[in-house]
Amino acid sequence: MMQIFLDPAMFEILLVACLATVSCSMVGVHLTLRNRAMLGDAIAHGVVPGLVLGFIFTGSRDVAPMFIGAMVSALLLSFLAEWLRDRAEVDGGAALGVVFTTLFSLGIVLIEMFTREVDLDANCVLYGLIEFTHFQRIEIVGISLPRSLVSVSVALLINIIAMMLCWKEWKVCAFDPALARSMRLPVKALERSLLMLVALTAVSCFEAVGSILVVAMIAVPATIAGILCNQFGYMMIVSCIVGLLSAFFGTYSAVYIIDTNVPGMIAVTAGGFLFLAVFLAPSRGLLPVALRMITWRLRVAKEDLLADSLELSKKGNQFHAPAFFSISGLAHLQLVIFGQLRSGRPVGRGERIAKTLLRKRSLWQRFAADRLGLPSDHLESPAHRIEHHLDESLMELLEEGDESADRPAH
Amino acid sequence: MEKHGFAQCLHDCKGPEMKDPAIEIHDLTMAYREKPVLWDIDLSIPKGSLCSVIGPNGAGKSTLLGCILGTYKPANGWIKIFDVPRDQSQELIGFVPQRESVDWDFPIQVLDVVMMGTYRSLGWFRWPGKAQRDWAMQCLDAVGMADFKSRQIGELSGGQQQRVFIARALAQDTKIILMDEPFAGVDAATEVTIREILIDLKKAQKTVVIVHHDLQTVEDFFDHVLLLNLRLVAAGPTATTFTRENLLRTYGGKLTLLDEAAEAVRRIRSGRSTGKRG
Repeated sequence: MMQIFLDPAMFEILLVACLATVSCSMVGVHLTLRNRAMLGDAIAHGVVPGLVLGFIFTGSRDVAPMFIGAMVSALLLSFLAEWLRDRAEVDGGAALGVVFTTLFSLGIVLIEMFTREVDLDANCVLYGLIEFTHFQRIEIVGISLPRSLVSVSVALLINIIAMMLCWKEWKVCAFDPALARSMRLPVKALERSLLMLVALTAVSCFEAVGSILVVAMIAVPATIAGILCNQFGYMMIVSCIVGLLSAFFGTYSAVYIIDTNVPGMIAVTAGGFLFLAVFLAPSRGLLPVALRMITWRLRVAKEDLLADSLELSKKGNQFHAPAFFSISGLAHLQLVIFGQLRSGRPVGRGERIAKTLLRKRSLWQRFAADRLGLPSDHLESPAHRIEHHLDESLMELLEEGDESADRPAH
Repeated sequence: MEKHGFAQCLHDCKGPEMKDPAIEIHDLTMAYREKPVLWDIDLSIPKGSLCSVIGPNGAGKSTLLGCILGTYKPANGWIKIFDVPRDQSQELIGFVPQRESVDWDFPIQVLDVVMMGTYRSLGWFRWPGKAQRDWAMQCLDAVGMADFKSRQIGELSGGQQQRVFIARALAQDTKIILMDEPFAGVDAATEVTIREILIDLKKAQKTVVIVHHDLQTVEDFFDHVLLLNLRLVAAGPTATTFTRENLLRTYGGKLTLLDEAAEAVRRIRSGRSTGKRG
């Protein structure tokens, strides 16, 4: 795994991929929290005609004109989408979808019309040219650097500075625009500047890694972070880390394991992480939740078995082991293995558990009968359910109540 | 101010004149697209009063708050805050939003929500520090929610959420606070807490305007009422304004003339659009 750091060409590719994904992951958090993750998609595609026009007018692949063109088309995109939504009463999502696909197609048409002879083609826009990172170099203060490395570093720097500066302003705008407005914050301008930041990020990462990766990296790491975190700051950090990990493993596997398109592999890796998060997230993941449910049901089954067997043995009746292939069967097996249930009678720790449970049951039944005034046929099954949830402190409360209720009677 | 015909008949009810009110609204009309939701509102809310806004669903209560807050731009009329036109006023207004309008899944903790109240006084680009944290804690403590400071807001009960947002309004430390149905769907403990906070705010000479639904508690809680149903039905001190007759006028009879006027406006709009199609 170290070889990727030793080969300078490979290392530069990795570096570009990492910086680009981190920028995208950062703006992605803001977009995700505004339920507008797909805005990244829209912008990444909508800026294409601007890029092409910038190229056509100047005839060079300099950064500046293409960049300006892209910014203009990003603004145009947002104005058009807002105008459609507010004036023509088109649904917001649909408006965005219509505008960005139209703009993107326009860009493709322009590419085919004017730039057939030069090295700007639709493929390079979609997939990027990350494999050629090492060969397109520029000199900055005497040091030869890959061109795309410079552009993604600048984008990341601007991202970090903007996020540090407008941290709380953007946070308020995302969470509660009404509050922001009542604080006299220029909400519209702030949202628009965020949009410009997305456009800037998209454009500068475009050439390096392609629009597919930009779209994926804006949406996926932030979504994963949203599943894992419940605090804005942590979400930002986790999103960046997920972006970095995807970039590293994606690049590594694309170069050394399956020899394929690097940006594509990074996006696939991020998708894989998303599935992992959905299944394994400690608090919300499907697997931990299922595991907690099964553990709980097993515990309930064990407690019930112990209590039942204790009651039966008091009455002198025979305890019958439950069917083997069931939750209670599994519970029974566990109890026997741990020696808490021997020949149909609870022993040691098992006996203590059974006694406590029976005590809880009778306490609750008395509480329900005396304090809640429920008739006797309402007592049995709720007590059976709630007895498993009563912890020490609730027990004490019930016991206190029980004693104080008893006192006047004596 | 002279008015003619239709406007005159809308204008038959005017709030009593008062000296330096906290909020003064003159001839305010507000429309969503072409559909008017508030008609020719004239009212004043006295400084230091606990004022409730009462009216049926769709009466424009929240819209009125939105206009005062600056969320909506009125089609006509003006609003003055402490005798300064709203748009020029530097005076800030605290706001407790309706619970439905908040994104409860947002990854933010209780203390952070309250700290948002300090952002304005903090100024641009600066990060909140210990002073802001302490002040926010103090405000959380005032609503009895200090123990919940590290909870994610979605984990709280409805009443607790309401209290957190009141703490945020306290943290803003504004002279005017607007609340949109703070008593809706809260538990008894929260109702008591909010009530106590209102009394404290009154002592501190704050002006509080609350959209309220529970007619039973109006007389206990508030010293000033605005009865609203698309237009202002009545406004004034609770004792003289909160009368059976005024309530009937607010909730009872349909405002046929206004309905017809709104319908006429809508007809023009739809006529225009069918004309385009044809």
